[in-house]
Formats: sequence, structure tokens, C-alpha cells
Amino acid sequence: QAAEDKNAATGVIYKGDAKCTRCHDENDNVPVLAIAKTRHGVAADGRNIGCTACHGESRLHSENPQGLKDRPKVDRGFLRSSATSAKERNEACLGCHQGGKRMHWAGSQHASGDVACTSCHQVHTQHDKVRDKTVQGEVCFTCHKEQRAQTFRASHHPIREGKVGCSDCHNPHGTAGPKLLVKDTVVETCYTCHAEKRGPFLWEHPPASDNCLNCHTPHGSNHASLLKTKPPYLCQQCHDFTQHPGTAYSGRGLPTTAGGVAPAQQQLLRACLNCHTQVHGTNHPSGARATR
Amino acid sequence: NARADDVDEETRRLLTPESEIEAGFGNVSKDSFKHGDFTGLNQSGAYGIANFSIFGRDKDDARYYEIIGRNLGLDSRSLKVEGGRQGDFGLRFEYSQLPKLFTDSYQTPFVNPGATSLLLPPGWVATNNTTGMTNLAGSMRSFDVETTRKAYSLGMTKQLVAGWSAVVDFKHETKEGNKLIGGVIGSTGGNPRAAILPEPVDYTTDQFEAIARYITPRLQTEFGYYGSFFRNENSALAWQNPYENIAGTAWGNPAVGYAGGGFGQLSLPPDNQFHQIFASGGYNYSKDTRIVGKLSFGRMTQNESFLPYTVNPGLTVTTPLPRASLDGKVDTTHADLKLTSKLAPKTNFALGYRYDDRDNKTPQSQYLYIGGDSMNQPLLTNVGQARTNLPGSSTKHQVTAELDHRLAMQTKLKLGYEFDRIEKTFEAIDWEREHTVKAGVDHRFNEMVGAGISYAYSDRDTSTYDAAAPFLASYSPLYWGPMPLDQQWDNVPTQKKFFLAPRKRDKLHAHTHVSPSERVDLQFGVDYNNDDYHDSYFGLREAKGWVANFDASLQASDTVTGHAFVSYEHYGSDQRSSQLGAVKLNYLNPGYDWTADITDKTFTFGVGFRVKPGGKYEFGGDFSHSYSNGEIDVATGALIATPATPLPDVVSRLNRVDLFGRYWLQKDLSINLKYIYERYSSKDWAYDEVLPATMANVIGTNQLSPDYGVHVIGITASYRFF
Repeated sequence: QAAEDKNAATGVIYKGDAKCTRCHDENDNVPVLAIAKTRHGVAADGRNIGCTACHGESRLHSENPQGLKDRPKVDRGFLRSSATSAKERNEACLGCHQGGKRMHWAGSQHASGDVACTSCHQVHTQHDKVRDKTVQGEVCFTCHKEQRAQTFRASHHPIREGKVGCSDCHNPHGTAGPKLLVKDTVVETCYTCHAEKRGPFLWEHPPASDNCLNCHTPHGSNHASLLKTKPPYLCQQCHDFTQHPGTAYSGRGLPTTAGGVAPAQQQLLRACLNCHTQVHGTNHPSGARATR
Repeated sequence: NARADDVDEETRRLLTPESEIEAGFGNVSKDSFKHGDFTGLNQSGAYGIANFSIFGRDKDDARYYEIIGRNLGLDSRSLKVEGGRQGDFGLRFEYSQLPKLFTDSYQTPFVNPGATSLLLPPGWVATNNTTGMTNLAGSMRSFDVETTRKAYSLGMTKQLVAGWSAVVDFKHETKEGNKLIGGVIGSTGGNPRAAILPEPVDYTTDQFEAIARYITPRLQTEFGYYGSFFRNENSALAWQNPYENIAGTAWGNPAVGYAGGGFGQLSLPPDNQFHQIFASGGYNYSKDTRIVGKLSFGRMTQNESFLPYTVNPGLTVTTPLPRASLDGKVDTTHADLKLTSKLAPKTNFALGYRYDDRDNKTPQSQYLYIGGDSMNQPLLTNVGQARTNLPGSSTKHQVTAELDHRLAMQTKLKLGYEFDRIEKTFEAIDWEREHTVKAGVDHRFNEMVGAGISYAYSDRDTSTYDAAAPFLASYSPLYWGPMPLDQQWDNVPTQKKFFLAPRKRDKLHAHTHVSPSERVDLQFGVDYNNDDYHDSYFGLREAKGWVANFDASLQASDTVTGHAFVSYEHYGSDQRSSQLGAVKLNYLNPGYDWTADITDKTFTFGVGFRVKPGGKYEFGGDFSHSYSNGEIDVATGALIATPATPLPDVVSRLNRVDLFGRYWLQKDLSINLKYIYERYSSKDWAYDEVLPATMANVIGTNQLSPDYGVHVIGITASYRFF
């Protein structure tokens, strides 16, 4: 009894949280106590003022004055079945987390899609999966299923292997750039890991310096180097001139052992890139044709 | 602490962060580069397994620490150490290693792969094509092509007074090893001679960011600097010329061919820098109206000393380089502003504007290039080798407007409009503009069923497409001036590059989810995309795809869960080219047309289960399957003398089983078993059966399409504590 009285005054996690924890204890099927394992459960951080900061005062829920069998819900609920709208749920989070990486939340793709912070984040658990790069994809892929399938392809970024997280390239809370990219443009985002392709080069390949996604697809491809289509055909979508750029490469260009007639140096191995290897640009004074 | 002391052990465990240390060993059944790509599980034999995650939180003064180590026994290891005091400061150190394993079946005749000057073996038999290189096949030696990234990060956050805080991040990343690159000697007159070379990679990228933030409930701002500094220890890759006596170039010059000690040389990525300052701000005008924006100014620079026109001193160079280095400079400007507001209780509105400018201030000069380290420099009069660099700039504007309206609690309508305008220099077009309209509806039929559909239509048009514009700007008028007016181009005039071409785009998305009970969740979605390049006679004419996804999750009981997904994607593109041969105006005759219809089909399937009875054991497993098939169908016109023949499909097939089990020996001590079987097979006509002398003018590499079946088993003990 003494301990119970002390808890009522001091709280299990927050000062005065007994009105919640007297029911939501270790035996409760809603495991709220685990919040104490997280940043939000540290009462010594003066910003953490208790359950009601997020869930509202919820007097009807805690006091149930009408003695209803199904106790009224808390003022602000975060379970999927809750009637609280995504916007109202998010107000609880944005009250503290409005600046920084959440600056551009309002009007962002996820905000206008009625995604709640708690659609992705778990607050009452020590391990918030979406903040762990090794398993983050599992959370994102619950909606972005096409990208999940792409990570299984022959060429992919190491997302499935847990070495690149979706949030290395995207900020799901909204950004100034396109596609929720962390930087202002596609190329600036790619250069954070691939700075060697930034140049500026003496001989630029305009589609490369403009937008990597002209030729590459970022999440996974059936073609090497995350290319959208296999060379030489990818290159021939833009380049047609006398002699080999305009040649129709087909089964004729395969090795003779594979049924070919004249093995084509512009078709096999790296195709056009056997010679025109500097497709991202080059600084060689003799590199005007991207060969040097 | 005071509160925790008052609760029993079980409650203490519920309130205290859990830490865990895991150690043991594993075994890989077989060598496979592809299997070990990114993970480091590429070598057969035993490896150490070590993972830990240690957490501490002091509830009395809000101090905390986290130490997380993963895959410590593998080349994909990582370590993070973080600590600080909540609401005051935080410090973070991270280390991460990433192996990228390209191929272990690559072979090369060069005796010192990995070096910046590649040498051929003694007694090399050089001829004008691979067929005559009598000791080529016998000279091929294996070389593993791989790179490793090692990244070290430091971070600091500090809360300052009155809403101010500071964030500083620094990342030092190295990338070392080799990747593959094509090296060509002789490039003019249809006589290139090439080899696929190992390109030494020795990169360092340092990134630094410092941000000051000021945050109040109403106003949030931040001001910062971002710098990125790239260094490459190697500026060039040279290789001994394996060829001899090729007609059409200066091969007669004894300094060029193999016997004369000739080399080829290409440049490697030059050192470069990027500096950017930025400011962001968000302001809550009222409870329902917010305005947010960002402004940034950046500068990319590159000024590495030029390599000489040729590495071979015996070639004639009469005109010196116009400058010693590029002095490359690109200024970037970004600005955006977005206003969001609730117009009515059920209606939200967003209006945005975005501006991106790339101002390329790199100086232009004329360079009189030397083809493939094998030609004498021509006289500066009438040749295609006199080229001026084209530092392209672009300016992009985007206006967006979105409206969503809730008809009832269950139904939401969305409408949107987007306008894009882009201006470019040194391109076939001066500008492009695109209008996009979007509409969508989401409806929740009842507690169990919801669905939605959305559609977007875009129409892009451009200024008059002038395929010759970059050609005329880069080549010397002395070269193209004498050409007939209708032949002053280096790309067929009616071929439109797809990223500059008029385009109509459709995007359709439909989805539904059904939750017949709290324990079952089903989702189904379809996406359809169609890009119609309706004004492109040659080039990419259409790219069309659809994807269907199905997901199911099941909570069979409090202790058993299962999940499954299926995904099918069909992506196809159609393109048309003209096989001109030597006659430029052949492009006007449809008899020389040819087309390629390309289709990639991918089927992906996964299923898994978890059993956690809460007693002494838990276990689970996953099965994943992915099958990709790429078809390329080439059809040639009546005047093409060498009609197309069929190509085999490009195929990859992945099957993978993951199983795990955990048995608790004691309350906090468990034994863990992990098992992976991965079977992968692939076929790629670009590599299969290509031997060193298959192509007359490119030395082959003997590379094989990956094909493996690897078992991985691991046994560990783990101990958790609180």
C-alpha cells in the first residue's frame, strides 16, 4: 500500500502518471510501460510531461463517469482503430517536433496522404523499427511495395542487406527537393555517395549532369548498374548517326557459339561502354567522345 | 533510481532499456561473389558472428548512451556510439563498412591489375585484332573486382538558449579497390581497339554540415553550410597497347603500337568540391495556415590539371592545350515556398513554387583532340577533332496546387495541378513546359474495407527541336561549314532524346485493403504508367508499365503470425532508329528503320511466419522468390542488308530461405540458430560465351553470369541485460 501511495505521487514513469498506470500496468494488454525504455519516457527531460501530453487529458476515459462497459476512448488515440484523424494525431508530435527535418511536413506527400507519424513510428517500444536502417525498409515497404520487389533484382542498392536505408536518400517528413529527396535536387542527393560523378567535367554528358534518373532507376533493376534498359539500346534511344550508333544489334551480334554471325563489339560485354566509357563526363582534353 | 527501486524486478525490466550481446560463429558453404555482395558472405568457411546493442538511460538526469555493433565478423561491419543528455547535447560516432563485389570471374591479360599503369606479359603477341593474339587465351589471369567503402561519421547536437540549437555532422568516407572500365585506343575511321580494364579506385569524400536552428511553436528556422570534398588519389589510368598495325590511324608510327611501347590513357574522376549555404523557415500564420520555404546557394568547382592530349610522346602535337586546367565552376540556386491552409473545415489547399538554377560558369575553349592515343594531332582547319566544350546550364520552375476535400468522414477527394518549365542551354531545345492534372478519391466503405484510385495526366511540349544545335556549337564551323545544309548534324534530326521530347504521360494507381478481422489484413494495389513520346519518329517512342501487388498479414493467434506478398511488374519500351550506314540522308528512307521492343517482366513472391509462444523458444522463417525476364525483340526494315535475328532472354532467378530459432537456456541467456539457403541463377547474352577473342576489336574477359547455391548456418549465444 505504501508503495502504491508513493507511486501515486511520484509516478511509475512520469510524475503523477498513476491515473494511467494504475490500469495500464505490466499486466495490461496495451504495453504502455515500455515507453520508459525510450527518450519519451525520461521524466528528467523536462519536455516529457507525461501520458496526457500526447493522449490529452482523457477524463472520460480515465474516470468513465457513466460507468460504461466499454470505457470511452482517450481524447487522442493512435491505434489504427482510433477515430482520431491523422492530422490530430500528428499535432501531438509536431507540437515538439515541428522544426528541423520536419520543417516541410505540411503539404508534403505523406501529410496530404493522411499518413500519421504513428503510421511509421512506434512510440511505446524501445526499438522503433523505422529508425533502424537495417529494418527500416520493412516499414516503408508496407506501402511502397513496388520498391520492395525492386530490391530483389539483380542490380540494387544495398537496402535489403541493411546497409542503405530509405532515409539515406529520402526524408519522409517532407523536403524542399523532389520525391522527398534529402537534397534539393536528384543529382545533389546522388552525389552524397557518388561525388566522383559531380565534376564539373570538361566534357559533360548532359543527361547525366541534369538528372541521374534519365538513365538509372534507383531501387533495383534487371540490368547492371541500375540502368533502366540494357545498352546498347539505352544509348540508342538518344544516339543515331552514321555507322555503328545506328546499327540494329540483334542475335547476329552474339558469339558464334551462341548462334551469332558477327560478334559485335558495340553489343557484347559493356556494349557502347566498351569504348565510350566516360558516360558521366570526363576531364581528358581528348575525351570529347566520352572515350577517354 | 527512486522510482525504479520501488517496483519489482519484472516491472523494472518493463521500464529499463534492454541490451543484448550476441556472439558465435557461422559457416558459408561455398565461395560466391554475388552472394557476398554488400554482406561480405562471399568466402566459404567459418566466420565470426558478433553483434551487440547496449543502451543506458539515466532517469534522474536524462543522460543516455547507445553502443550498437553489427556484423563485426564480416566486411559489412558497423559500429555506432552515441551519448549525451536529452534536451542538452548529443555526440555520435559511427563507422560503417560496405563491400561491393562486382565479379570474381573477370580475367585480363594485364599482369598487374589494380595498378595505374597496366602492363602486358613478356612475349605478348600483338596484332591488329584479337584473333591474331596467339597467346591471349593463355595469358588471361583472374582478378577479383571489388571495392570497399569505409565511412567514419561524427555528429554533435547542442541545445542553446532561447529556442536555438546547433547540429554539426562530419563524414569521412573512403572507397578503395577496383571497378571495370573500357579502355580504347584508336577511335576514328571505324578502327577502335579496346580492352576491359580494372580501374583503380582510391576515393576520399569528406562531407561537413553545420546547422543553427531556431524553433518556437510559431516560427522554425535553420541556417546552415554543407561542404563536400572529393579527392581521387589516381588521376589517370594507362595501359600498354595490346594491338599493332591498325589501318586508318597513325599506327605506322612506331611509338604507338605495342612494339613501340605505345600506351593508352584515360582520365579518372577529378578532385572536386561543392559548397552550399542554405536557410529554411516555417511559419504558422494560424492554426490552419502554414508557410514554409528554403533558399540555398551552392557552388561546384573542379580544377584538376589536365592530362596531355596523348600519353604517347611520339605522336605529333602541334597545338598546345588552350588551358592547363578547366577552372570548372557551376553555381546552383534553389528556392521554394509552400503555403498550406484549411480553406473550410473539410477543405485543405496547398500552393507551392520551386526554382532550381544550374548556372554553369565553366569557361569554353577549343580542344584539338587526339583520337585514342593513336593519331597525330590534326591541323586546326577542317576536322571533327576540333571541339569546344559545352558547359550546359538549366533553370527550372515548378508551380503546384493541391486541393483535398472530405465529402464525408469516409470519403476524400483530391485534385492537383502542376506546371513545370525548364530552360536549357547547349541542348536541342531551349525550353520545355509540362502541365499535369491529378485527381484521386479515397473511400472507406466500412470498418473492414477501404479503397482508392488516383490518376494523373501530363502533357509536355518543347521549343522547336533542333538536333543539330549542340553539334554546331561544339564542332568547328571549318568542319561543318562545307557540309550540305541538310547534313549539318551528328544525330538524326528526327530522333528526339527522350528527356527533351514532347511527352504525354498517364499514371494510374488503384488500391484496396480489406481487414475482415483484427487479425487479418489484405491489401491489393495496381499501378499503370504510360509515357507516350508522340512526336518522336526515332528514339524512345513509348515506355509503358504496370505493377500489381498483393499483401496479406495474419495473426493466427497471440503467438503465431504470418505474412505473404506477391508482386508482378511488366515494363515495356519501344524505340526506333535508322541504320544509316555511311549515308546520312538514309534516315529519310523508312527501309532503313529498325525497332527494338524491350520488355522486362519480374515476379516476386515472399512468405514468412513467426512463432513466439512466450516460453522457452521462438522460431520463424521466410521464403523469397524473384524471377526476372528481359526480352528484346529487334525488327529490321527491308533495306537493311543484315536482318535481325532473335536474342535470347536475359534471366535472373533468386530463391532464398531464411530460418531462425531461439531457445532460452536461462531467463536472459539464449542459443540462436540461423540458416540461409540462397539459390541464384542468371543468363545474360552480353557475357555468356564471350571469350577473350570472341570480338575482333575488344579483348573479352571470360566473365560468367552469376550462378550459385549457398548455405549459411550460424549458431550464437546471446545474453540480454537491463
